[in-house]
Amino acid sequence: MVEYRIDRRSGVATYLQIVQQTKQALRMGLLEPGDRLPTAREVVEATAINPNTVLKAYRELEREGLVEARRGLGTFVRATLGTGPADSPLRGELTDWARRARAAGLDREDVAALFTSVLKEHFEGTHDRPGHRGRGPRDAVPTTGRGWALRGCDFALPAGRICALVGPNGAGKSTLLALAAGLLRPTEGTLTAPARERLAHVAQDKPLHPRLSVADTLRMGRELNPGRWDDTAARRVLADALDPRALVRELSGGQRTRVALALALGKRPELLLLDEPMADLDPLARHQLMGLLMADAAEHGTTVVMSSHILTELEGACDHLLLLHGGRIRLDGPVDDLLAAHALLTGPIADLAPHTVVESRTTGRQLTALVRREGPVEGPWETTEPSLEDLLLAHLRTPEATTEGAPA
Amino acid sequence: MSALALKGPYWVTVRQYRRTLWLAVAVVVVSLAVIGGLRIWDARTPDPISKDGTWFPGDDRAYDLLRAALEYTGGGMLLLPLLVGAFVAGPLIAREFESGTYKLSLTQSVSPVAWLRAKLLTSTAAALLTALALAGVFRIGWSGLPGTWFMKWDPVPYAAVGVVLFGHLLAAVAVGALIGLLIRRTLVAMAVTGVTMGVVLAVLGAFRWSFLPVVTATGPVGSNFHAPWTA
Repeated sequence: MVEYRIDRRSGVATYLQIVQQTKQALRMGLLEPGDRLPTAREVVEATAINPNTVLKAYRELEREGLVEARRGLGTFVRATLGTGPADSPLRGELTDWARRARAAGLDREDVAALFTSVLKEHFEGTHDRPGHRGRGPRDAVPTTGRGWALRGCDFALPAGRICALVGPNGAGKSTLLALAAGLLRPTEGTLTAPARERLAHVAQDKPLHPRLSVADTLRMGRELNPGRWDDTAARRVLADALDPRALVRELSGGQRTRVALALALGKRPELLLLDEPMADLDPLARHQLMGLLMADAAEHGTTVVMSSHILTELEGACDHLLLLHGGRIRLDGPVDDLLAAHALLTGPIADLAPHTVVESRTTGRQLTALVRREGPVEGPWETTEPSLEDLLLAHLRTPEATTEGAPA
Repeated sequence: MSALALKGPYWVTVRQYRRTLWLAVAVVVVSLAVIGGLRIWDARTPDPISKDGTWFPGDDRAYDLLRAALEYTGGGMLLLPLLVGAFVAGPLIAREFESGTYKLSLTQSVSPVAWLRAKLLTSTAAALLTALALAGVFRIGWSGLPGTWFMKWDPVPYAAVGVVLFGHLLAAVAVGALIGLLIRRTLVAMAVTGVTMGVVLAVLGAFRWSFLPVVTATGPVGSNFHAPWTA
């Protein structure tokens, strides 16, 4: 069995990290043909990333012929990757070279730097180059065409996605979630959302009845959702961390969040609307609950809309982005597509047309700009693909940027 | 409570307001104990009768206390609609909005109408049962007691114990619900409901006796005739 470690700060896409780590495990003999890879649910529960990412990685491995998916049983290893036989001539030459390098006085860092430059020169992979992210095979997830309107903006959220709802305080995120949950009625325009039986909403203040005990609260969930309540799903969120007889008003913030999430997940909703769910949790609890949410989404295909300020968490988990600024939708689309459609330019000051400038800063003779590409970027600048944080901060810093209508 | 096998929002309402329901039961039990105890005490201290049939005044403490208790109970029952109305407006409805738990209640699988209906039906049933029990206690208090025949028809006990009370309670629940939904702040809703119901009770009490014209009836005096006490 292999365990995956996701580095959110590396420039490598999450699904590629999984692919690479699987290949590494195959090379080192930790995985052999016939071994079962961990299910998407297991991976997601441990790493709190998006389940679609895991599925994407497994499909990539399947395409390379390394694994095969067996219906109902899981994904199994099919072939090995050779390191080459242990006594191949290349290995012997390398060992000789290493001895000579040490005799010549090269230390470990010099050798590492040498190898990095050689790798870059001769082993430039098509995957690691920025700009290719998001152009991989598309997930075949159907769009359901649900539309919500807020101040005249329409957007549709595809089912089965984990959507991040980001925006500054006061942008209207809570209003949007309350509208979707049916707690508010739009003053003008229409709203299409699932009925209240099929959705769950956890407000920012995690409302619970203070005088009920934890067990009573779960019982309340069962009574108010007849026929839809799943007790095991609710108890899994509590994870024996809470005394069922404790009164809700005696619980800490993190424990209240757990109970609120247990109520929401016990309903088995198709759409989960969370308003800053992880705001008052310690890092471990955040990781665990995120893992639980992702695992639940993996198992049931729930659509999750989560508003949050913690961008690092969203980066790994969310595959769809909604940016609200001043009551309008600024960005709406799959994260990969949005990042591929933007470019971070650094270089001498020059005209940025025909690209749409989101934000630009000049310091002396240098220009740093985040632009939305309109065609290939030709100019004297260095182009990199922005991270999610770069993109969001750039949009939030500009007060009246032009509305990004259609997604990438 | 568990023997009633309540379901859905009814279970939730009863569970949430357990303490209030037990308080109502306690009030009934205490008043029954007091009134019942006083009657027993009164029965134990009858006025002594001499051999030729004259009555002597005896120990009247129990009787006096009992009459005072009944008068106060009668007056107190008038307050019951005010209390019920304030409870429905405040803790039952307005508090859900003030504390934000409406966001929880309205996103479950019950419709808002069913939620409101469960709350109102439960509180009405509890209020009516309590009123019935207290009226029963009151009747135990004055039945067969000399000098209390007026308690059936005097304005204050009439409004406090009887069908009028049930009507007032229903009105209190309705008014409380409306005010609670409009004013979504607990204490303000309670105060406004209390004042409104007070005004309603006062107005009705003042004008009740003019609803129907006074009828003068003439007839023979029977053997049960008691001249009214004019002292």
